[in-house]
Amino acid sequence: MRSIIDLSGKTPRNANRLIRKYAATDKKIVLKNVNSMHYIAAGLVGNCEIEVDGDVGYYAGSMIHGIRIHIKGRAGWYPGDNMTDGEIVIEGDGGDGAGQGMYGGTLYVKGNTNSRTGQIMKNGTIIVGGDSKFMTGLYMMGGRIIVLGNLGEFSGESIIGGAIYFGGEYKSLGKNAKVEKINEKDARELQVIFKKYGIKANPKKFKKIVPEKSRPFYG
Amino acid sequence: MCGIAGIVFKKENGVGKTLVDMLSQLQHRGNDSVGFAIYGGLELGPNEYQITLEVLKNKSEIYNAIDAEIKHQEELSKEIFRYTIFSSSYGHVGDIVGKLNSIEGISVLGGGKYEIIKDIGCVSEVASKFDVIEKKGTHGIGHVRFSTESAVDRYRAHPFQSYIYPDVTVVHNGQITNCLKLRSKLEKKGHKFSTDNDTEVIVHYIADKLMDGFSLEEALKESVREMDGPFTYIIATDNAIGVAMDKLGLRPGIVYEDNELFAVASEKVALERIAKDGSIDVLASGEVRVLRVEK
Repeated sequence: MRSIIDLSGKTPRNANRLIRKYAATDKKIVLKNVNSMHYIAAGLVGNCEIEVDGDVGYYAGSMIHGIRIHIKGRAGWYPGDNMTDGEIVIEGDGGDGAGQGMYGGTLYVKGNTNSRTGQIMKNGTIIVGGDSKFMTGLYMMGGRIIVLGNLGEFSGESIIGGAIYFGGEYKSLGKNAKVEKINEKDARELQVIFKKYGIKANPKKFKKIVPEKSRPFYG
Repeated sequence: MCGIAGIVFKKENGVGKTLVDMLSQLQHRGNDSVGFAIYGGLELGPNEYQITLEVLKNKSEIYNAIDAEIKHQEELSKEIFRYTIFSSSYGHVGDIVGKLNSIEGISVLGGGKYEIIKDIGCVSEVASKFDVIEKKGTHGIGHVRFSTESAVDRYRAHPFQSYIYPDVTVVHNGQITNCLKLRSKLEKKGHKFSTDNDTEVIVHYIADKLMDGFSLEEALKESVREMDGPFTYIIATDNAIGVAMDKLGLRPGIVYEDNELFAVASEKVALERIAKDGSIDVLASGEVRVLRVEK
């Protein structure tokens, strides 16, 4: 079953109550007149698909588990914050802190992301179709960030685990970050992801940023 | 946490309504107070200036402090009064402001050739009380405040102004963590501070740079280099607005442009009532931009 919800004039709290109600029974929900509202679908658990017709504000899909969200516009700060499973696809840009603290699932931003993409993420996958700016992967602990374009200053700042794959250039590296060539296993994994999302890119041209030391601050 | 907005029109002049539309969408970022600085809408002669006061007591002493001809006076509310004066220079206006601020119970909310409106309350209340929607002009800035650094009152509501350089005002979201150090340097150069608010440091800092011959863009870049802490602020002058973000990008900022206007705001939701098919850019860490009025 597919429902269309008009969010005109609704507060985020009331909008999320409605979304939760329909997500319990419907396979797909279409959200209209979202008007850059914050906290869309925050904390939602299940296997529903949500289509957002327009832009979203902050914390879109925060803490979701199993939900798939397709945002046809752009997102503000922190889309996919602390998500544990599921998928968020954003057609436009992804703001600051995209995928911060995520534990699992996939966040795919087709446009650019601003500062601190994937900061303190523990697992899961973030894909950025364009560039990712300042301090990408700040204090990253696990998982992978794949940037098809360029990285900004202090990339991988204080990275502890995981890897940042990038197809373009980087402006500078952060503390404890080093650049390596990717290996065969990396290339195969990237190829699977590129195929799934219809991304036209050659994995063999990518490099990766990984931690220089596994215990950088405590000896 | 506060909400900030700025607008520059290319042709039309509905600055008041546009700022109200933007700030209404940002109300969730703070409901302690609201403020507007609207430029290009006052019909003042070359030596005419407007001074807006909060008067809680000692109203009779106003006339001793204003040592200039008063062309017009207006009671905007029970406690807010506005005087249009003839003065030989902006420096003289600054002297009058200093005298007025020294009177117990009187606070100058703004003075110059632009219109200041600020009060405690939410956007709809303040906009209705002062007919902000009807205000015309070329450009302006606005603010909704969630107080973190100082008391909630009209005096500490944004925009803040410096009186050493004409018509420079600022609205700000964030904190300037080295404000006392910067303030001390500016005080040694003769700047007089009238509140304990870190935002006042920004406006004096920029005014000081403009006095020293920096362009607005250069002044903004210097501020990003010298100021610590998380911030995004919008500065307005008589012919431009400028926006600056801290070097770590810790407070949000977004810029919009179409055929009719430039707009700056804390977040995209502020553009929902005004944006058409223009382009949107997210400000990067340490970025500054200047949007000039076409005259």
